[in-house]
Amino acid sequence: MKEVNYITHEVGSLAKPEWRVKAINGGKINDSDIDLARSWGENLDIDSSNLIQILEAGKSLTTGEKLSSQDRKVVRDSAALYATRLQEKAGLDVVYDGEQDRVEMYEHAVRNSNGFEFRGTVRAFDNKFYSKAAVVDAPSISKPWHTEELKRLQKLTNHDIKVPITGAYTIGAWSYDEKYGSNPKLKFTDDQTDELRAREEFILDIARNLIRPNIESLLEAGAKWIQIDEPAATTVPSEVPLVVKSFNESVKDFRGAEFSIHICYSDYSLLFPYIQEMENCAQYSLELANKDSVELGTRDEDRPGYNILKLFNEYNVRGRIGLGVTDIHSDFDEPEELVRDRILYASNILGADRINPSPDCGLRTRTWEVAFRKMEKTARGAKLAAQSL
Amino acid sequence: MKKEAFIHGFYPRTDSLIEASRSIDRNRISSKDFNTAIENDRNNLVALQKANGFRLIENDKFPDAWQDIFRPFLGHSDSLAEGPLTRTFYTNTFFRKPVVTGSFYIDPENVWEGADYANAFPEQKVTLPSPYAFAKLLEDKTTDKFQRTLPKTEFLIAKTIKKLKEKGISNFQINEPYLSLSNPSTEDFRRFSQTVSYLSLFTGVDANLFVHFSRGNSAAIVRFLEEEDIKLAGIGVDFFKTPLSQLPTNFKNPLVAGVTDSEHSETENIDNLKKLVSAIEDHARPSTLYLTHNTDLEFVAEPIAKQKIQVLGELLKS
Repeated sequence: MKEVNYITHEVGSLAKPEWRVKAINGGKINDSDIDLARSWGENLDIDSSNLIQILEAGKSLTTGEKLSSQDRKVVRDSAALYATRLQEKAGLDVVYDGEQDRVEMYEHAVRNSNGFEFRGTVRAFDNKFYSKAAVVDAPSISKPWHTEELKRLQKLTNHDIKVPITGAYTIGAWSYDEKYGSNPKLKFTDDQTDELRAREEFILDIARNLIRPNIESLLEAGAKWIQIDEPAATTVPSEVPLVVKSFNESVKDFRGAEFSIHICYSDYSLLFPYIQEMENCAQYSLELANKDSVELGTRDEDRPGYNILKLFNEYNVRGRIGLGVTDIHSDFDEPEELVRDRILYASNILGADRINPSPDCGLRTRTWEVAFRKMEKTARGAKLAAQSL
Repeated sequence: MKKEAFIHGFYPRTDSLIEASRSIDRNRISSKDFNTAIENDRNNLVALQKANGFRLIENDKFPDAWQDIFRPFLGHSDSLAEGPLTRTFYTNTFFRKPVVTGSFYIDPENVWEGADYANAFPEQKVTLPSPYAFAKLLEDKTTDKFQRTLPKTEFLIAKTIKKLKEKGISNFQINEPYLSLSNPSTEDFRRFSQTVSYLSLFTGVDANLFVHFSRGNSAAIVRFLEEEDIKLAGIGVDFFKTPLSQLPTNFKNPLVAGVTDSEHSETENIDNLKKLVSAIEDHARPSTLYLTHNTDLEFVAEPIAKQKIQVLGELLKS
């Protein structure tokens, strides 16, 4: 029997611990923050003595005072280390740093680019918000977004690394357009030609002038796997071809690393047949657990969230699937057997060697306890699935 | 022709309330402080509407009970639960998908526990989910037939209207995105008109029902309702998606005109808006023209939303 080893990975962000948030932003550090740093340090076999010393000193700061820049660097690096170890200890094979230095996937990218101005905070869901910007000039990179993160992480882990980067289409879709399209124009005709042309120009400019320079920088730093995050990919069905075009423009001619695309909370059927034209895409990472039943089983009716995978065969779209197997928007504790069955169902359709189990998406909205449990179940479920084959 | 203006749906939170919202989630502030922050935003929103000459004052949806348009209805019975986080059409905003697992009776009295209508007054207007969109967007585990699901949401919204009337509210708006965004058939239109007629039984002659179509070209459904002589307090159109030329002339119903774009950061040019309003008046000739924004204002930050309300106020004066 052929031995199968499912490669498991994270997908995106982890919550920033309170001690990091307060230490960086000048908030009031208290004993429970320090206890949290100490206890997680112990859990993750990290020598936290230097960090604890800094946080203890931080307790005596008055309102508005901040730690020194050197101490804040230690805090940032510690948070990245903790987040990385959390994933390693959970048993994931491929890791990142929990995006600890990123404000939020859209905001981080835009803050480190030229040609955008922020226009305030809007709601994502519940009490979660993000800052939204307008493009006001031709986008260009002000500095590489993630290369320093990657270089730091390379010193922190021996695991394989996958670098997430927000994609061109999502940055464009989530921005107001104050440059390419017209001012808010009230419609007198059905003709959308100008609007479509403007949108394509905007998004391809992002691909060429923001994404490509970032990829170049990451490759120079030794990145071997780059994940392009496109949560907005199917939000306007008629624009899926533009998503494909922007991905291809972003990654064309680059060698020396694998590229993947992560899409979530979408109607994936809308990707077909267009993703047949994706080039240089080694993996399609999809959120699927969110839509699935919590019953055990590997029949179609047991796994409604994963039926969509059949379209990859139907349209002969090759490449691996980053299989979301744990729901990141609830604290539900997935049994390992449920994760196993989700993986086995997918393997039956596409072949085990094409399946990379992961959480559905970033775990930023969950506590570290819950995030750890979900990543651990992902890894354990993958092992159970491998044993079942 | 009378001219008025109002807002509808979700209004964005100020930075203060956003900060309080984040803080309450992290147990950094007390419920009392959070409610104070809500009260501040509420008072400011009411004052803003009044300052701009709006007669009908939209209720706020700041309490946690209103995390999305369906949330007040979920979790109050065993049969209608919170489902997965789902994207709101093509935006970066999400709602909890309602999931029907049983017979779906919900006592609307329980629904409003957190929604706070203690201070209801006659000019208050409340935006509710359209039963049609509600039925389309939920997951009904008891049937796969839309025509069996729709009566459930009709019943729920109708009973809700009845309860809110008892609390002193007499203006209701349902926002219906589905019929202008999808490719509806005449049968869909017919069924929707039955929904509206059913709700009208509950609003009665002493309350008002507005129906607003957002997010797509609603010319076809609007023409249908006008031709069928469906009587409403106002029919709403998103003029960023619906060409005026495709709408009927000589409206029988008052017209609700979405003339500012809630998904764009720039404030509309007042002179362009005056031209459009003049063109609408000449073409549609409604007895009353209500000026508003095309979809919920929560898709822009509060300072921008405030400017878009002020533009409506300026239009009213002109």
